[in-house]
Amino acid sequence: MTLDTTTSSNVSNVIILAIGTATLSPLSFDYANYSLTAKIPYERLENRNWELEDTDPIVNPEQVQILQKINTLKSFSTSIIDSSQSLDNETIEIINKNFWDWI
Amino acid sequence: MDIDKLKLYLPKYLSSESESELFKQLKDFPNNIDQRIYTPYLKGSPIIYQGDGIKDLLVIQLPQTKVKKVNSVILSNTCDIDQGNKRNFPSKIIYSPLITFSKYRESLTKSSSKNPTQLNAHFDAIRKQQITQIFFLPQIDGKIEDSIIFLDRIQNISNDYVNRDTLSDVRLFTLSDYGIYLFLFKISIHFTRIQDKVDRKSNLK
Repeated sequence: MTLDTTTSSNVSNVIILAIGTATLSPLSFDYANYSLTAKIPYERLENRNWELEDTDPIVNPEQVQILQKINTLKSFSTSIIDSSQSLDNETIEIINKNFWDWI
Repeated sequence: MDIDKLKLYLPKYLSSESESELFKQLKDFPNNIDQRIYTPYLKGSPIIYQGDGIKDLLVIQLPQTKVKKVNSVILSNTCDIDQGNKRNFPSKIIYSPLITFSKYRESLTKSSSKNPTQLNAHFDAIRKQQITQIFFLPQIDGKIEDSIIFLDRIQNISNDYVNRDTLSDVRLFTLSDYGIYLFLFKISIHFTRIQDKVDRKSNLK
């Protein structure tokens, strides 16, 4: 692609200009909020409260295993409960009629 | 919640290998409703375990008075019917008769107004343990065909009726750790779910 020199409002020019300036000014557009956002280097962030302190409790491998097992139980239980169905009236009638002959 | 307290909700009686196997099977559910729900491990034990298949238990369908001997599945808690536990009021054995799944399928196919697709979906739901009243038991070569029990057709009999000295002759199967977990879960849903959506107005005199 070559830069079109005939008009400054040409779309190709805008795209190439945007790519060219991206490295100079780390701004991006947040489409969800229709706002321009700046990328700030990590070390210059004012709020880093989420960082782990030396005194914070750390989840050990055994605790991770416990959580994995609980999650397995939860998934198993949920899958049974969510898919549970009752027998309809017609089926119950057929069961009542035939039960003694089946056993 | 304290993660260590969650340990209380995990099985505590299993060896490390058995526990790993149990969780592997629970993860694979419902694609493993096959021989993995049984164990041969307790074959020679003189104890009747919850979920055991026992030959020729007496079945009656009240108000009719006829009695049949039918292979059945034990619903009683293992401890309650363990004769080693002396009790002032000994528990009876409760059980539900085994029904051959092919007979059930045949009757429904013959009598139901559902089309073949709907019927197959219903049979598939039974195999996947999705019907609350029914527990599905896959076939065991030479012992049982694919079978079902109804959790709403329960019988009871004296604990002495089954002779523990000859138990291995009449025991058809014992459920594995995974099998009993599935069985108990289905019993729990059937009998103890808090979903009846009834306001009982307990404040009224």
